[in-house]
Amino acid sequence: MSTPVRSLLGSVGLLISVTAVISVLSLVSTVRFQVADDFDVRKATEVIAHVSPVDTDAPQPVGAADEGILPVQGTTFPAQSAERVRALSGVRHAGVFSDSYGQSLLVSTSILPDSAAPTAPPVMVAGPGLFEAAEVNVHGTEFRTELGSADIAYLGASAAQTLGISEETLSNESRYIFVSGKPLLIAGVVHGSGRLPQLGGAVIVPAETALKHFGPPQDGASMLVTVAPGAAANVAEAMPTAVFPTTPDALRVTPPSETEANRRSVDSLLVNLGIGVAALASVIGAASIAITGTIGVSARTGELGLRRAIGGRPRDLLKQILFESALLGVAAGLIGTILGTAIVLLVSLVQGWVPVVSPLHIIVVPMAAIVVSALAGFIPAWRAGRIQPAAALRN
Amino acid sequence: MSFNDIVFGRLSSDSRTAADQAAALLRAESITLTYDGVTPVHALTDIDLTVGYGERIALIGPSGAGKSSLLNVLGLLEVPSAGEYWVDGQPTASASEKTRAQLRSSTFGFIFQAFHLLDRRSVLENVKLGLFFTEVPQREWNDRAAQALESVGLTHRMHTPARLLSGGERQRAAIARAVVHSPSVLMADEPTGNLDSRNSARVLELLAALHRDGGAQVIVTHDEDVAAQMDRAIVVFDGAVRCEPAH
Repeated sequence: MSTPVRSLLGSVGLLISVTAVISVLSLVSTVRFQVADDFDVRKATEVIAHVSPVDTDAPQPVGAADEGILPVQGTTFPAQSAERVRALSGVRHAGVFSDSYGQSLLVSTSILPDSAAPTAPPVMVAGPGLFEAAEVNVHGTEFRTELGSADIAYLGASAAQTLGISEETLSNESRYIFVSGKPLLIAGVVHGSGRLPQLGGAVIVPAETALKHFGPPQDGASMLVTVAPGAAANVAEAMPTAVFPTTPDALRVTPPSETEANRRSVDSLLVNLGIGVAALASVIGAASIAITGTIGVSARTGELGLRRAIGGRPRDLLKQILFESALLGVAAGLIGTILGTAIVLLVSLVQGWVPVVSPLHIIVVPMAAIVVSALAGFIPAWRAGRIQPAAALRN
Repeated sequence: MSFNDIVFGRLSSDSRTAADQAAALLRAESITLTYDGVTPVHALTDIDLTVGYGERIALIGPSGAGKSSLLNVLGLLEVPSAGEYWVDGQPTASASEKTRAQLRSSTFGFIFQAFHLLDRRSVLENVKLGLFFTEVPQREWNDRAAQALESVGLTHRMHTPARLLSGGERQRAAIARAVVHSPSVLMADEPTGNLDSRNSARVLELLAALHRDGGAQVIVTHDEDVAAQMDRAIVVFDGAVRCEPAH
C-alpha cells in the first residue's frame, strides 16, 4: 500500500470522527435551543392543576356548600373555581378541561354511528375561559367565548380533517356532529392549540353541555392557567386554597420546577450524549492514526534508516512522524468541520429548526483533532526513533 | 593481483608508520562488533584500520565476511562493541548519538547497493535530502543539488520522479545525494551490485572522477576488478582484516 493511500486511510477515521463530533455537538445545541425555547415559554407563563373524580357518596367538607364547593358542571372542579383562579394576582386566563371521556362517546357525522370510521376523534370537555387560556383561534360561523350549555361543539383542526369537514362547508351551511347519537351544532374549528395539543385532535364540547347529555367525566379534570411572566410560582402556590379553601390538598398543581426539571433532564441527556459521542470519536480517530502510522513506519523503515544514516537523530525522526500525524489532523479537522456543519444545516433545513453551530465547536474541535492526531502519532513516532540505520538499510 | 593472491598469497598487515596512522582521516583500533542473541554473532574481531585523506580503499572479501559491518562501523552507522575509532582525530566509540549524527551528516556520504531513493520525490528532491541535516543554508540547496546532478550527468532528469529512473540513473542520483554536501569520505556498499556491466563501469568511472576532486572513498565490493582500481584493498575474512596495497 503506497504512503499516500495509507495516510489517506489513517485520516479517514479521524475525519469521520471530527464530522461526527461537529454534527452531534451542533445538533445537540440545535435541539437544546428548540427545547429551551418551548420550555421557557411554558415555564414562565403556565400552570396546570389536576383533580381526581369526586366520590359523591363521601361526606362533603364542612362549609363546602356555603363556599360553592360542589362537584358540578361537567368537571370535578368546584363551581366558579376558574373565576376564583382568574382573580389571583398574575393570572391572565384560566379554564378547566377534561379528556377523560376517552373513546366512551362515539363520534360520527351522521345520526347513525359510522362503523367505518374507527379513527373518530375523542371528545374533550372545555369549561369557560379555556380557549383563552390555551391561546387558540376559533374559526367558525358562530364564535362563542362563553361556552355555555348550548348544544354545540367545536372541532380541533385535525379532528375536522379526520371527519372530512372543511371550514368552507361550515361557512355555507350548518353542520352537526353526533356524539353518541346526540346532535351538536358545529360552532367552529379550533386552530393553534400549542398549550393543549390534544385540542387539535378532539371534538370539544362545553362542560355544561357534556354534563347535561353525557354525565360527568370519569377520571377527573384539569385546569390550565396562563400567567404573567414570573408569576407562575406564586400562582401555583395560591391555587389550591383558591379552588378548595377548606381542602386545598385536593388540588394537585404541577409546579413550574417540575417543568424546569424536565427541561434540565432533557438538556443533561443531550449534553451527555454529545460528550459521549465526542469521547468515542476521539478514541476512534486516535486509534486510526496510531494504527496506520505504525504500519507506515514499518513500511518506511528504509527511508527512515536513510534519514538516520545521513545525519538524522532519533528525535528528528520522532518530530517528523509527529508532524506528519498533526498534518493529518489538520486536514481531517478542516474537512470534518465543513462536512459536520453541512450535515447540521441540512438536518435543520429538513426539520425546520434554527441551526445552532457554536463558533467554539468550529474552533475547538479541529484543534482537538490536531492534538489527538499528534498524540496518537507518538506511538509510531516512538517506533521510528528506535530505528537503527544499519539494520534498517540492510532490511 | 587476483583475489586468491590477496587471500592465500602474500598477506601483510598495514605497514604504514605510526605517524601516518595518527594523521589518518579514519583510524580504528581493536574494533570488535558482536551482535547479541541466543548465539552471539562476532561480526568483527579486533580490527585495526586506517584510511588516509583522499585515499581510495576497497573492502573486499566473501559474502558474510563482515565487509558491510565494518563499513557501517566506519560510517558511524553502528556502534562497536569494543575498541576505539577516530574520525578526523575525534574519538567516536563512546560519543553521543548527537555527535555521531553530526559527523555522519558532515563527514560521510553514503551510497547503497539498493540506492534507497524516495520513489515519489523528484530526483532533485532526493539529492536535496542529502543536505537536510547539514549546516548548509536552505537557500543554497537548489543550487548545490543542481551542481551535484550535473556532476553525475542527470541534469535532464532533475524533475523526474525517482521511480521512473533506470537502475544506472538511480545509482547516479544516489551518488549525487551522497556528494552534494562535499563530504570528506564516500562510503559505498556494493555500489554496482544491482547494475549491469555497462552501468557498473559508468558508476565506477564516476566515482573515480569524483575522487579526483578530493575526498576519500571506502568501497565494499566482492569484485576483484573494482578492488584493483583502488589505492588499497583491505581483505575482510571471518570478521578480521588483512590489508594489501592494490598496487
